[in-house]
Amino acid sequence: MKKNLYFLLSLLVLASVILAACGTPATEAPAPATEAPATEVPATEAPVMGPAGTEPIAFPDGGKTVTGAWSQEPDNIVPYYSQMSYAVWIAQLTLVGLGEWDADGNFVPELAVDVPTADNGGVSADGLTITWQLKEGLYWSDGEPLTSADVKFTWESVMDPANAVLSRTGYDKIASVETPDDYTVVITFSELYPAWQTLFTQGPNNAGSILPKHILEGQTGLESNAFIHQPNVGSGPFVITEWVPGDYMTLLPNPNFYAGRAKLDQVQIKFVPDPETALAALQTGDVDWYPDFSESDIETVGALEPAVHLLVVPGASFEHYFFNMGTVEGVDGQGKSDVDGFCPFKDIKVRKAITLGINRQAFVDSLLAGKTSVPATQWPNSGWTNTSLQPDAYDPDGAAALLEEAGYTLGADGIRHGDCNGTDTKLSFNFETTTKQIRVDIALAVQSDLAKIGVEFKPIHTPAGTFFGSYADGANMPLGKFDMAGYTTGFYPDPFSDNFFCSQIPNAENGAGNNNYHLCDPALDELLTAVNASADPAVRKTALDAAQKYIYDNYYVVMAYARANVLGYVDRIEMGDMSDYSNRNWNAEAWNVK
Amino acid sequence: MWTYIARRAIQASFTLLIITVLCFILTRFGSADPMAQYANNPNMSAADKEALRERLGLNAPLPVQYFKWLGLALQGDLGISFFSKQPVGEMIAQRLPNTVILMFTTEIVTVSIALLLGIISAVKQYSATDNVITAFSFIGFSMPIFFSALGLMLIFAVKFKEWGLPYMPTGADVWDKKDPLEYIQHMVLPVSALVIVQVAGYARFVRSSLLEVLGLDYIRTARAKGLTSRVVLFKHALRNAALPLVTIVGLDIPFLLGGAIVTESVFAWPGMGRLFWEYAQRGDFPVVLGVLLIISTAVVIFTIITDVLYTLVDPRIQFT
Amino acid sequence: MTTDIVSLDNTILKHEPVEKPMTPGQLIWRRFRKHRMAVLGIIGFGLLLLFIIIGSVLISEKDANEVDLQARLSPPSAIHWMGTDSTGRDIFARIIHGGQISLIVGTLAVLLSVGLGTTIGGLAAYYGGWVDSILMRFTEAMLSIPSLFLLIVLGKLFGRDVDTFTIFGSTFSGSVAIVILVIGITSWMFLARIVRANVLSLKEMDYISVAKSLGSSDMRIFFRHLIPNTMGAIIVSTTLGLAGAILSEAYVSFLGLGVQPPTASWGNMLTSAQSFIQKGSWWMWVFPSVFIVFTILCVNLIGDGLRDAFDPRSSRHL
Repeated sequence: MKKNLYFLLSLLVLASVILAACGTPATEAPAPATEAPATEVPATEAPVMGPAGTEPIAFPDGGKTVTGAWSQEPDNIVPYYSQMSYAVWIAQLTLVGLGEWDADGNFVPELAVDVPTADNGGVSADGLTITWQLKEGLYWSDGEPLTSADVKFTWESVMDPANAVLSRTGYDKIASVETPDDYTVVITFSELYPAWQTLFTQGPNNAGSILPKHILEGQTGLESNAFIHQPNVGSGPFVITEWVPGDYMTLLPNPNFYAGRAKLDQVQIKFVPDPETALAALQTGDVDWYPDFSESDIETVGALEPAVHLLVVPGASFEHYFFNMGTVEGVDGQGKSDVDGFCPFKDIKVRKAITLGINRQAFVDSLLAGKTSVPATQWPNSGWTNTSLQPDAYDPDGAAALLEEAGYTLGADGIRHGDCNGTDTKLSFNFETTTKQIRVDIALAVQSDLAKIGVEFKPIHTPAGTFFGSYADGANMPLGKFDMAGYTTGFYPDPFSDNFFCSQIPNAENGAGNNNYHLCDPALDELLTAVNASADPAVRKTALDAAQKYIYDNYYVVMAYARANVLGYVDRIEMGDMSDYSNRNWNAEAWNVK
Repeated sequence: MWTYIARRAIQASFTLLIITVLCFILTRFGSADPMAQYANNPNMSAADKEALRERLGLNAPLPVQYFKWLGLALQGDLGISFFSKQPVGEMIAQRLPNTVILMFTTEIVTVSIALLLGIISAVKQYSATDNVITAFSFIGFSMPIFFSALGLMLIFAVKFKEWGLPYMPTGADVWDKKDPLEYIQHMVLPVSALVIVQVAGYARFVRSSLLEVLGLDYIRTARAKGLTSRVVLFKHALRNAALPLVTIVGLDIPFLLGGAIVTESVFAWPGMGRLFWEYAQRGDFPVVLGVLLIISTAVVIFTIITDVLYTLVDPRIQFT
Repeated sequence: MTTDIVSLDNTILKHEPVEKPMTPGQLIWRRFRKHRMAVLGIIGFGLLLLFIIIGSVLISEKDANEVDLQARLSPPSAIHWMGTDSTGRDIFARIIHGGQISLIVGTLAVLLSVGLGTTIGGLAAYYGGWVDSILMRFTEAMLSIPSLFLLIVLGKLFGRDVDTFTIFGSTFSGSVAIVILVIGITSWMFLARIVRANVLSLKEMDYISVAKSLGSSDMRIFFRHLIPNTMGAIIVSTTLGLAGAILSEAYVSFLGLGVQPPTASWGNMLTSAQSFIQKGSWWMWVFPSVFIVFTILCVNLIGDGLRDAFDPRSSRHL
């Protein structure tokens, strides 16, 4: 048998050699993307101090190299044209913004000297004018100066209808961008925009890179511009020098990075098919870090200590289960849903009973290895959290009592039923979510918990591409054709969200509305509107605390767990602080090898 | 013969037209929603999403979308991927060679082993060897590709590694796709997985057609002429018995390509099946349609080639 | 004569005049009994059915869906004969109930595909002309897209929420109906071609012209004479189609489409098999896979025996 196997193997080898020799190799490496320009020194008027170089710094033998494994490949690099986190992560390495969030959630400057505040005069009294001061002597990696004109150009290009950006949210509230001198940018908003910090800056969910005017000026249709897909000039700690699609990307240090040359000599990113591959590659040492494990990998990665370190940081995004609160009548003609939600959910006692009847801590401890937590509100683990609120503890008896009180009694089949709006209704409902393994597992745990209090919870798992489908495509969630549903979202770094607004309920008039809860509660609308009524963070926090308490008290949402950022890296490398409050690569310039 | 081929080609182009309609309708009604990936983007307002739908051309009436796509496809332009924003033609061209190499190697290995097993089986009909081969054939034939793939992976990659033996790479590692040696190493397991499943049917086929031929008059004549059994077997019988294998190989192309999705996804092989699977989940219509079109065209062409070849090699059948 | 394989099959499957004084049924049974492998297949399949039926009586579906987070991922032991899965459900119990679903899905899907295939093939052959051309081009088009690709393209349908329904006292998630439908409509093409070829050859036979001249309606000739006389071909391809349908369910479920949890099927027990290989929990996918292989093996053996029984001359193409 063994002999036969060897025979088979050698036969294979032979056949493949012949084929490989005849066929063209599958991935022919293209010529290096950045053939450095032959110019010696850029022909600009010399500022105080010239650029440190005009091309990425290459070490003949690679020098200090760190290799990452990514399971998704960015579609392009400029985040105005991409919504992939992976694109945002690359942007943090190559095209930075005016400011960023650090690992502790502080808003800190990047290209700017300081972040604008009311105290330093950067934010006007009415909150409508924001003044950014750029560092002096900034250069693009090709040696061209980086000035306030680039910021103005960036805004103009985002707003240019000829460029198909994904989102103009916020940028469309800007009335003008003035550049009194090369280092000053004065942004004037047409109306109060308290989330101004997310514009032209980089955080976990936003990535406002400054674009180079000298390269892109005069061009339109930037969505298909070569620079957008593979910028060969940048302002970040590294510059992309080679990108073989489906295989790998090489980045070399930018000589002109504002904080000085990065400590590493080279960053390689290899595109791997899945987290399993990344895990195997971490084990063998083929790669040094993988930024995107899921919570269900925590146990497996944790078992690799001390060769591989595990970093789990519970973040500001969360997995939540919510009730379909939709009504066809709507409230005051506003917030009309196409379909009525499950009738018993209109009763707060039922919603509270379901919240109390799920042993959330149990699945956090077992399925998520106890590395994350059950949050109380939709603004967990950040400066915006209302710390006076605690998640409800598991209390099946209390839950059963509440259901009795609400008039739902146990039937012969072990499922409660009772009168709801004149109809005898069984407490049996569908729960919809995606097919992700951890979601399947948790839904099963919830199902068995709720069965104990006489509630039948029926999970339906749908591929994400269908689950998150749009109204126009007839997807269940926007159409309101579900009882309960669950997925991950987060409101950070800016806490404002219109997800709960009556006006955002998807219906025939507003198919793209964001309110998947189909909830219309004018009192909540008012509380959340107050969050955006001021640019003063302290005022906003007070308003947000009230809104959090309101949602918490009304049990509109069952908070499942805070999503955690699970990163694995080998012992050899030092990656500094990382968290979910900042962009994952926010401090790439400080990465080093031991 | 040429009129026959011409007639088949006309038929085939009609079939291909139906295929395009079919693919388009199935994709639009059955495939995931391309907007789904934007559903949860906190930075996108309702207006942004609506603008994107418009830009992706999803708001146009379906027949308009179809003819637009078909018109471009006829000029060789398969459109731009919604997701990666690369031209679909280029994306497929990058992945296609990997799939083709995998498939051809599989076919060559399968046919060689099948011939060997089939001959042994037929020559030693009803012997213990024959029975063992037949039994294994049935098991192999009943095996889903993922089972052979996962089984091989468990034994030769995971367990061998645990036991400290030299183990095969699974694709779940980082490798240099330009290095021929690594390329071949990574092909061993996927090819073996496909061969195990396929060789069974082929071997049975060789066995029965060989038995049939061996019973025919001209073989008896050859034997009576005093030719050695080896000469009879290889010069006369095998040649005639192996010919029908051509049809089987040709007709197995769709099956092979389907198997490619599973094999490529288990072994992380950067081929077209994997491309299709990844992009179908995202509802990337241009990529899905592009791959479907290329694959079904290949199948249609292979069917014609198979029929022509079969007619050429089997004098009993005439072009009609 | 055309040159494709199906018409080759057609000549194989054509009935020969019965010479012995036995009814065709008896004759077929006698030939089938002689086929040792086929008898083995029947026995194996019988045992499997017995296992599933007795198992379902002894172990309720509730046990199969019982989550026990404390006991997750435990290897085979005296308590859990085949170990537990990622939420601590007993794999042995799920094999039993998953088997039910897989067999029901396979059977119903194959019946659907036989219905479609017979109707389309029969109509094409009987009416001929442009009806035949259009139906056959359509069949050819469907055949040219490998069925797994078709199943994946139809992925969204698997996510449509069809309400749970109850057969034989157990509740099934609505996705079961969708899986049956999708597999059925993607697997009728081969049978359609076989039926067409058979009906074409029968159409020329004398008794059909006699029936026609006696004033029988098209429908009557079609269903009373033509279809029953292609029964052999239909039975054989139904049996082999059952194996194909069970496999298709396994394939789509392996890729995460298909029957959705909590309803177990052999296929969806394999959904994350790949990641479990790396994590070492082999029992999660080996047991369901072995049951799939065993079932398909038995069905294939029976199908092979039936083919030989219906036509003693054919022993080719497994």
